[in-house]
Amino acid sequence: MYKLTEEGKKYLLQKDLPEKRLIEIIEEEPKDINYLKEKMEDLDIAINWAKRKKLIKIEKGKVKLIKKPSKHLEEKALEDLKDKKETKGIERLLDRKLIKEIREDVVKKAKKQLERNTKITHLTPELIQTELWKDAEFKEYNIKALGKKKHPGKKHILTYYIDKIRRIFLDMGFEEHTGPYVESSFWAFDALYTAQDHPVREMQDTFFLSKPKEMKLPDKKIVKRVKRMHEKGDKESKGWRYKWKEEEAKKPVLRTHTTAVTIKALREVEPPAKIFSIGKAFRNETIDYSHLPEFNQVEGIVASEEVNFRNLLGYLKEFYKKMGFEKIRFRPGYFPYTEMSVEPEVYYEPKDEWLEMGGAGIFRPEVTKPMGIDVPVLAWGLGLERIPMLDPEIKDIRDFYYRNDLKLLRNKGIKIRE
Amino acid sequence: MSVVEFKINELEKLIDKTLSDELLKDKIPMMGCDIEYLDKEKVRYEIFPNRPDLLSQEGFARALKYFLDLDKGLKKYEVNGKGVKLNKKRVKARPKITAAIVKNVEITEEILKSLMQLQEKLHKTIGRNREKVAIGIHDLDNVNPPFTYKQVKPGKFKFNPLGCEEELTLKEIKEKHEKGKYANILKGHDKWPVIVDSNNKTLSFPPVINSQNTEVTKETRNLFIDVTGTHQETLEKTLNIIVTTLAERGGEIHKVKIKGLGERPNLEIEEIDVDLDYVNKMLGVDFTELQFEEHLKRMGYGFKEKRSLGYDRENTVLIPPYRVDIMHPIDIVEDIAIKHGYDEFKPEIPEIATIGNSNEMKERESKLKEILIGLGYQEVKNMVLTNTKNQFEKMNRKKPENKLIELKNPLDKKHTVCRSNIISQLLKNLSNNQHVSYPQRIFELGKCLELEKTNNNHFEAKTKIKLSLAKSDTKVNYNEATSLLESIMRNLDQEYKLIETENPSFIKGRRAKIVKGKDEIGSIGEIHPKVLNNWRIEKPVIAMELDLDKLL
Repeated sequence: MYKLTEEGKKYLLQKDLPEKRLIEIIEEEPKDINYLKEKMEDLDIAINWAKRKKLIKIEKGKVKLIKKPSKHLEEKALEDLKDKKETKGIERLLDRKLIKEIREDVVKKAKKQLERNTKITHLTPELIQTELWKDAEFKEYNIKALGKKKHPGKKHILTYYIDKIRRIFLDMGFEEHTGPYVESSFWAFDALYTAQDHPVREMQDTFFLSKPKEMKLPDKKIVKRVKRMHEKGDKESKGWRYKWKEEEAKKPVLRTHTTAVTIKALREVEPPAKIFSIGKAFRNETIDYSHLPEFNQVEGIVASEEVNFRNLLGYLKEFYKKMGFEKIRFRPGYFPYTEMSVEPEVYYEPKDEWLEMGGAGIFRPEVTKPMGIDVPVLAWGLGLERIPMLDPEIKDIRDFYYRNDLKLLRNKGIKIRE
Repeated sequence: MSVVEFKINELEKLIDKTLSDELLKDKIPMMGCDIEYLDKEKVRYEIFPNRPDLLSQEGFARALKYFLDLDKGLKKYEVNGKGVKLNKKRVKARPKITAAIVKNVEITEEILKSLMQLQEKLHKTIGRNREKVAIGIHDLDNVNPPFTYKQVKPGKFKFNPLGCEEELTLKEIKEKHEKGKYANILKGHDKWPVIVDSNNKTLSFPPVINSQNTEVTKETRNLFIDVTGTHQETLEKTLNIIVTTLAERGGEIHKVKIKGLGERPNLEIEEIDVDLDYVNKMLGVDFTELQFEEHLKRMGYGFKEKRSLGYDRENTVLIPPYRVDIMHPIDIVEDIAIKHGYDEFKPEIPEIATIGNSNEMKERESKLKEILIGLGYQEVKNMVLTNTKNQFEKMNRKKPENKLIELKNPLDKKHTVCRSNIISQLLKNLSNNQHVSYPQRIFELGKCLELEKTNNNHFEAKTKIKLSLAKSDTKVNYNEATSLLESIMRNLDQEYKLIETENPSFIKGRRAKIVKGKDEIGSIGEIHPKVLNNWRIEKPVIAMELDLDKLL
């Protein structure tokens, strides 16, 4: 089966072939090319085919008729097509892309489809190609029926929060850092001026490791400065005044806070600097609906000669505002490595409750000086899971990490703390 | 964390003011203690480890009086008397001791309870469970000074310990007495410490138990206090907290002369220089010297203006002897901030021009996640902590040697190692979600941890970022898995090969290792039914795991 192309329709049904139209114009007398150009937009095609068919010649810019055929091959072929005769002309039509061939099996398939059903159920490529759809009607759907649910691939709920928090800090000009889960006690505690016999370093709170057995310490200069600060302090601080042991600092732990990441970064920065890190921290706790031994922290530091306590509160307020908490308050807290220490709390309206969000403060000079930093450093480590946990649909923190309840993950809307 | 319980009416008596619920709930925590519990009679606060002076009702009330503007200025404590003698001999197991006497305390039921609580909390906090500091409080009138601190043979020395009817040797106390466990602190020493009086009557076997005959009761009026341990300075601080606490109840502090050490307790006022400019700079405020002085006095400090040559103006702050946490001027700054009230500071973001910069690896991970989401996969998140049964046994694999990060002291026995693969956790997720509609397509991109041998035969912890995905449905096939892999690798611009493997987690002939150059970077295949049975999964699963270190 053959079918006229768009061009075929134009030249064989609507208008005549371009060369035929040309001959009509020059039939009486030869015409100037420039004149013809104005008369015919497809003059190039017309001249081309008229020449090939040896019907014209061009002399001194004028087109002159040699002979006028009674019928062009293409016109004859079109009639042959209707009579289902295979002639040489058909090749010409195909060659000139005036018709295209539709394979027999396609036609057969389309016809069969229409024989089976009086109405079209599926609009098939065959029906479209053969244009046989013109002879049939479409079966109608119940367009009011709602669709069956499908499950798109999606990010984990927590990833939406992490993405949002990353964007907030990047927008505020913070640089993102990451670090390993396994740390030496040196970076988890000693560098943070936590005395070696401090209760947080006891077994109950911290995951110590049996493998690897020990960790490498950083370069000697820093170790020496940290040791001195613990043992003797400096001209401003009394220090902890005890014998600091290197073996203790080498003990590997799963990092108890992501401050281990920012304190390491502090070594290398040139103030003013703003750094953030989002990552897991580990505490040796038993599991219940609101506690897991691992959780994510949003860690940030700002190191600058200019910063002060009010600025610390300013950053915290701004962050929580961007997370959708309008009201925030600050209570004194305690961390061995900050002074002032602050526990920010946000107001959660649905429950009429103030919620603890984590810890913050200004690093003690005993922390920053051994790192070579002599300016105030604001710091915070905020609990990430506390925010999604406010969602009434999320009743148990284990739904995040443990069960990965697909029903919850699939159906949770994307309007997450916009 | 120490949570201390106070009787509200006792606190009220001590500060001579009624405490409303609002004060107890909202105002007092602004002093620096979290409220844990409140009812009509009692209140519980979490006392931070830097303030052991707040661990007693009396000490807490003292601080409260300052904080609520009921008291002002530095408190001085006098030390009276000529001094009872304490002979300090060489005690290898527990070399340090200090002591004091407090007279004329009217021991009521309340005071006795408060004292017990203080002692217990001090033991737990700065005492590090008695290892660093142990306190003994005795009825002075039942013994005769001078006292002697000495070491004795635990198998021979006998006395009648508190709560016991009969005499026991120190060794027997360790074995039989409920407090005997503290003798473990003396482990490795063949001689143990005791305190005896001039008649060789025992006062105490530190850090374990006092003697029955010095028991403090409601009849007791005069006290002898010993503090033993390993760090002299901490002992002195502990002693100061106890004697000043008793002074708040009207006790008179008397001295003890310790051989080789001098007179104790040492309640001399320590000084620290604090620059007003430093205070203002750190807090972002503009306090005048007068305000500075006022805040200090209202937090129980003393103030001494010190003008040195030139323009530098420093002030000297006088520290009361019960404050054991002041080691840097910043500690004073914090107390000023607390007195001023944290809620009085106006939050403000400073103008600091820095350029935001995201971590490149995180960005790439994020892009890769997008591809997987585009392939219709749901992201899941699992814990890093897990166990070898889940990681290997259930996967039909053997636990590898020297490859796992192992926890030394996990509270939860289900968590003994850090994960080195994610694929097992995805199977766990599928197992937990069998009631949810199929097909189920899940992935996780996350950190795994492995041990790695270094050049000098040490082992190091190595973080590996891995991608794992799994699909479960009534019908799955191997080709679907490889086609997923192909889409991922095309997007990562990576060439790779699939090579036969023996990995027993997968079905033979439907499994391969993924190889890039010479490196094996992952595995792929249809999960073995034995593994599915282990996880009680009832539908077939295809899965793969890719090590992204060499790909991202």
